[in-house]
Amino acid sequence: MANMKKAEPRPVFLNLLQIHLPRGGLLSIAHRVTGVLLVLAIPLFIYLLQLLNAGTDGYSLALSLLHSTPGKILATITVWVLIQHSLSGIRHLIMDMGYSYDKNIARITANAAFVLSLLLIILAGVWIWL
Amino acid sequence: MAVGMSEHGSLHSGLGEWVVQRLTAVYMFLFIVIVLIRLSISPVSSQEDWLLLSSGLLFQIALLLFIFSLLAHAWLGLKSVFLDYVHPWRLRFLLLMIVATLLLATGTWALLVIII
Repeated sequence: MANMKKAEPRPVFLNLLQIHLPRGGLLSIAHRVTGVLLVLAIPLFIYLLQLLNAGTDGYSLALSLLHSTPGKILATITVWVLIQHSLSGIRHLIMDMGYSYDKNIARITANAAFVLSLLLIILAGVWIWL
Repeated sequence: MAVGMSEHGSLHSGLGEWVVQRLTAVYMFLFIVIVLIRLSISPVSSQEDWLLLSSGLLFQIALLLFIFSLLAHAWLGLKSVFLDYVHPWRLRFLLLMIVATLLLATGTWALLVIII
């Protein structure tokens, strides 16, 4: 390493509006964004558990929160984010096992993760709202 | 050794963290699937149903394990986000300490909620 020449500065191009990411790259960003959002849902989850365990009053407060419109909207968003994160996570595991290094498979599984999350959130939405 | 790699330290914890991130992910996924199956077989439709489910020792252990997995998974995930996007090390350190404190506090809260 001692006699190594200092490398030329490499070009940096980070214009997010012009970078054309492959579908897998988009999914990778989605995995991060949904992951950070899910961290924000952790205290809500524990709070819900606390209410459910806090006697009759707490239990009925938890239910009325869950059945209110804002509660349902929040639940729908959280479940969608969780579904999206789970699917991109499962794709991560598939990639780890060495299956998806084929460019076509990588694109197909990335598309599948997006499409499946839409289908599953419609199912979950029906369950939440009806 | 490849150019730009450090010799010791940071890289050594990488594989362990990689494994923990995946094991916690798999556990959480299985927990959610099993809970969903259990709820669709016998739905919780009253407080008695919920008390019956939530007072079981097996459920409490599995739920606590889920929450600890969640917190560990969140810690590793947030850490890699900060490593990528927050470069001033003092700020990164401060943010990581805040996150660690909040996650540990959340874990303590969950422990109190579930056990008591």
